[in-house]
Amino acid sequence: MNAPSRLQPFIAPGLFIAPAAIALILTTAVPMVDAVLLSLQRWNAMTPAVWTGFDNYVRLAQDETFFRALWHTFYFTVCTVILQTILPLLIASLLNSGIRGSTVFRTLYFMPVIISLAISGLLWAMLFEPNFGAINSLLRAMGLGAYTPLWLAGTNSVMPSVIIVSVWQSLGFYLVIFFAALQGVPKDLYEAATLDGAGAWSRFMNVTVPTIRPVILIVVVLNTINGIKVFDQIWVMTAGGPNYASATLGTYLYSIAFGAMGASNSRLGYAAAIAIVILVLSIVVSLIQIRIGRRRDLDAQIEV
Amino acid sequence: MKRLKAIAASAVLTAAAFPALADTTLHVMSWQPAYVAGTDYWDKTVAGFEAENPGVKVESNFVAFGQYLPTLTAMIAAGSLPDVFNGGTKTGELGRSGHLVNFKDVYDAAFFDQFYAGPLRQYTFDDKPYGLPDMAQIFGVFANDRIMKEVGVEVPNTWDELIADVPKFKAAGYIPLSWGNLTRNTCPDFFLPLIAQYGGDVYALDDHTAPGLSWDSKPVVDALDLLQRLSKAGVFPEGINGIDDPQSRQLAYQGRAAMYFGGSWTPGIFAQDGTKDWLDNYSVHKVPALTPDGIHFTGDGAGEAWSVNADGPNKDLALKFIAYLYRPDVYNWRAKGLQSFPSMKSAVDQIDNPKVRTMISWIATDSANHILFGPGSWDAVSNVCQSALDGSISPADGAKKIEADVMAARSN
Repeated sequence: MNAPSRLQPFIAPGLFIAPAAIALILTTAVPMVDAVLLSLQRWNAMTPAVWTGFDNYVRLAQDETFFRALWHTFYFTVCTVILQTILPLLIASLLNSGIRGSTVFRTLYFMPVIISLAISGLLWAMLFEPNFGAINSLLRAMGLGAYTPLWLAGTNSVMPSVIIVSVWQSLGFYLVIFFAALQGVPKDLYEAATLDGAGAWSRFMNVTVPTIRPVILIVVVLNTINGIKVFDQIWVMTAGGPNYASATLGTYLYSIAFGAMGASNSRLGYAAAIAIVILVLSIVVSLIQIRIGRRRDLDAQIEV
Repeated sequence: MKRLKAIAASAVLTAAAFPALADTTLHVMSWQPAYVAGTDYWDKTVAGFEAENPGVKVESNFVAFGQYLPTLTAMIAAGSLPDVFNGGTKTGELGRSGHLVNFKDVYDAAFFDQFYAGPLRQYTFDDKPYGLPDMAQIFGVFANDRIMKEVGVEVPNTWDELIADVPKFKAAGYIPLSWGNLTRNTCPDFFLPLIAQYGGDVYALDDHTAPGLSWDSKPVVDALDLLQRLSKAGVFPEGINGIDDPQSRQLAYQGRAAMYFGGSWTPGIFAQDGTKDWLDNYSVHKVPALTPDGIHFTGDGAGEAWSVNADGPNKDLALKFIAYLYRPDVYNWRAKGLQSFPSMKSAVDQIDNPKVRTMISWIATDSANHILFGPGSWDAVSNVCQSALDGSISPADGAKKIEADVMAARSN
């Protein structure tokens, strides 16, 4: 077979793929390469960029605030992956068990999903306001005035506060995913387990979880990626404050690149270096999760 | 043949050039929400310029303050700055890097004499005015006289008096002085003039080129110490770092706070959304001083200043527009419409609100810088400000951190 005829089978698929591939290259690959190059330069957008090699990465390695932001990102990601996977799964299982009003509950849980992150951030900032916000007012009315947290204003309470908002906002989305997956679990598996004497918890752990494991993996990966790149809600509620107590890699990158309420200098090369770190982290963590998921699937197949 | 070719070429060139001359769009961008089509005095301003310059169209673009600097940064990076715009805190860096017109090259001394000194000084870098203040501002304390009378205290003249009065306010269930720092830009407004009260020079600190001058100098440490003492004494609302400006105003409106710290533009906001109790009872006072006979240094300047893109295709037209905007008759329309502190002395008569006029009278004696333009200064100060307020950093360490953060930002 000569070369042109060897290529023959790829021509038609190639032509079909080409438009999307070109669009992807122009809108994703080129900016990504540009960002990598920018991360190797010093540039404030006003004066010509200066090539600095790996200087931005060396500075990142010495930047205390960057590591605080990295820790907050890790903290946020771990908490949201756990809460935004387990809670929706449990609630979806409950709703799938045939309880009355399941549709109403699903709708109620899903409603926060359709609110924009910025709007929900503003609403929660009002609810969390320490002096007259609804939550502290309620606590005071219940005689718990001594236990009113500062919420977004406290350096210790700000991260749990933004995690609460994230869980509130995302729960419905993952719940719907899990609910759809649970609908596909064959009923006879539950019946067989019940005949074998399995209780509700045992059925959940030994039938439900293994059957929908691929969906759980997708939810975990989605939560992880969303956690690593979290930005909008936190920016709207705290702008990463007080004093970087809720800064994540996303908010730190934004404040370095663009400033906000008054910052005068843009450090676009440094910001690009942070962006590359976020990209690498997302890829590495996702690959690990997918690999673990595949290995478990393989183990499960071997067991079968 | 040669002649024919020349005629044909000039005809083509004229045809190509004529539409551009006859249909020029001047791009104007600001974060002032009133400077858009539909506001009568802005419409009148734009229509007047367009009438004086046939074929010119002024396109007014509003970008909300929260998104303004990021938008501007993106425009700078893309090399697509508008013709006339508010440079905000980027004015100094933009001017120094050659992107803005130095107005001293264009206008004479008499033109600059029309402005109040402080607001103009704020946008002058290396003796080059790269921005011309639109509306000016000055800060003060707005007190609810009904609450002050109920508590039995006078509006404090010194910070020590304010601290001493806190137990009386608290016993009566009031927050002494309300303001919010969620967006981090109010604390520098409050804190930077304190440095002036302690004898520091915020312009010089921001510039950071004078030998031996640094942010960890004594006036800065003393100012941070005072800020922290006020916070620890309970002068400010609980969780001030989690409260934004509108929420802090609500504390005043709803009678939860006895006083409110704000700028000369806030009486205009009060008129729009203040409660009757607040509107009937509020009065305005200078911020306290260090000593009974001390100067009540408070933030002055201008949030918005017009700059002209030096690289833009419509530079000359933009400069013509600026000259027009600051013609006293045209400026009066804006001053009258906004009812805010005018940056031009001649427009004071346009201000009806007696409280704003009272505040204007302070600019000659009590003004101090409260906006930072130097690379890294604003972030460094606003972050340490938050820490000083919540007590997580000592004044000396805070001052050292400002200095370290400014130096780090300027080396990168």
